[in-house]
Amino acid sequence: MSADETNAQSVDDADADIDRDGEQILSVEGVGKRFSGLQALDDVDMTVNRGEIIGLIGPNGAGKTTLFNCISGAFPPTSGTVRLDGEVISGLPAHKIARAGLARTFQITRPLEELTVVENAMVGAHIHTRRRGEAREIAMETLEFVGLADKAEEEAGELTVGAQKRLELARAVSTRPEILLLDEIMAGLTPSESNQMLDLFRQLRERGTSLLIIEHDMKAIMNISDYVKVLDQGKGIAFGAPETVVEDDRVIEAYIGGFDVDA
Amino acid sequence: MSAIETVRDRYRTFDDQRYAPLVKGVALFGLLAALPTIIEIDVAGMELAALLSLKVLILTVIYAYTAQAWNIMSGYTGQFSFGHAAFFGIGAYATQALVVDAAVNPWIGMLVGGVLAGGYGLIIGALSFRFKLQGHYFALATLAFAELLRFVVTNMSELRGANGYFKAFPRDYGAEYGLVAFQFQNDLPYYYLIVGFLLVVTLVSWLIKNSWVGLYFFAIREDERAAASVGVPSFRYKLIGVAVSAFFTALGGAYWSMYFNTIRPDTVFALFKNVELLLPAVVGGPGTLLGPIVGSFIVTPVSEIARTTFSDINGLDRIIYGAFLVAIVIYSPRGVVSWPSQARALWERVRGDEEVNE
Repeated sequence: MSADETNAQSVDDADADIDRDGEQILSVEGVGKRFSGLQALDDVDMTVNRGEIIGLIGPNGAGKTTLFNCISGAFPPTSGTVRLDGEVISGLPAHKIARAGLARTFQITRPLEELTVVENAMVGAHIHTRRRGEAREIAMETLEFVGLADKAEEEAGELTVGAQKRLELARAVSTRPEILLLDEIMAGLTPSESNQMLDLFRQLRERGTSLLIIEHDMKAIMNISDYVKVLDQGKGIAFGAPETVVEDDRVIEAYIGGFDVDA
Repeated sequence: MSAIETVRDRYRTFDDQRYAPLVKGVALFGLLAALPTIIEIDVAGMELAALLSLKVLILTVIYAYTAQAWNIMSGYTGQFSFGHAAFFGIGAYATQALVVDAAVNPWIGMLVGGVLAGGYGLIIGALSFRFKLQGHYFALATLAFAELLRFVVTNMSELRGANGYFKAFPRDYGAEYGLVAFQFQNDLPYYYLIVGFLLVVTLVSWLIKNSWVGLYFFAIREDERAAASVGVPSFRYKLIGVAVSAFFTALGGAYWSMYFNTIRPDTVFALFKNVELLLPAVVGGPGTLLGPIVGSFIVTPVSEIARTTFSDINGLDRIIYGAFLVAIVIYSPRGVVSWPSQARALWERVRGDEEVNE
């Protein structure tokens, strides 16, 4: 798919005049999610191209994690379509979406506690092979990548918070995804751990993995993201380069929270 | 101290070797094979056999076998079944009904029972997992499916209702006493046969544990959503777990029916049978290879000895079962086989403190 087509498909109002490189990996088209009376997501559009790092921000309750859940198949969207590499994935179960090349981490880490660290990563690696030896090799590679290789034989439940976050990343990376959805993976990390994590993001991008990142640390997300998508009350309110988004009136209003700017 | 440490270090070096599982397996099953001889050894004028007869040994290995089968589903995938009597009873009934009513060889009846039980397991699994029954609700659903069979069989005159079956003689299905007929005239061959069964199901469990299937099972047990997020098709793998477990449990039921001569709905489908089938694995260590075997050697002899020694106190064996279950679930959910490593951790902590004090 050419860049022109990508742009033509971008329906988000703030998105239309941005010239982005690379082929489109993920496209979210008019996605909505309703939970008995609550419209958690309302007609959200966004796209991620190959090798891009996109930040997904918004105040608490904006629907960021809900959007992740709709994309990754934790539950299906009530309306709209999600495409991965042009194929419709919305409505598919989570394991099929993972096999199609989309991996995610969870906001509250979900280590497979009684398994060892390397076994955790091997579960992801088995997407590519049924052989245990090969899965172990892939798993060890990703553990070395995230810096957990020395803890490979420890029980995952025994890890510190920082290590569990890295394990969460390692398990997802072991599936060798085309796009990785990271849900507040830097929350609770020390500043130096956060910097290491940002460095991992850059390395992943160099390998051609696209990243869609939810993060509350504004400095980090403005630093790492190529583009930022802003959600508020389930709606997409802005999309653009980090420096333009922070100056967007609607974004400022959303973050100040109901405060009347004109008054 | 250093002698202990040397032994421990040597064991660790041994444990890392590729042949370690084979050596352990041969040692374990060698011991099991030697047990009938060992219990007859005279120690200070007392034979162990007075306490631990060959009959109790057979019963112990039967429950080790069925616990190993239960473990595949409930220990590995974490879907706790409280209704394995359904599969056990299907195996027993399929074998006896075919032997007695159709003069079919019991080995064939056993396989038919295994397949039927696997199918029943798939139905239970598909319904329960489709409606996302988990934890206690799933356990209760499996119990309901087991009890359902008890009522149905009790009221089916085609399966001789509450009276059940009495095993036929080998000549009735054209065989002579021996392995082909699945019948022997004394207990020793029966013992070796069930040890063979245990060997097969243990081998299958080992193969599962050491393949991607086992890793998927464990991942599902630990966190189904996390597993699905990295590509584990949990519905399918839970069904595989149920079907394999049900199949092997049914073979245990078939063996039971051939060894104990008679089966009735209120024996093989009994409410309490569900507990007997799962308890050794829970006591020994769910999810481990050795747990179901060790657990059965703790639970079964004690309850059998209690039952025969205090035969006038009705239900004492069940009280003992209950006490075991409560104690293990509260104090050691990882089972008896986790004690050595827990003791080691404790020991290392104590020693670490000492070093700090010095």
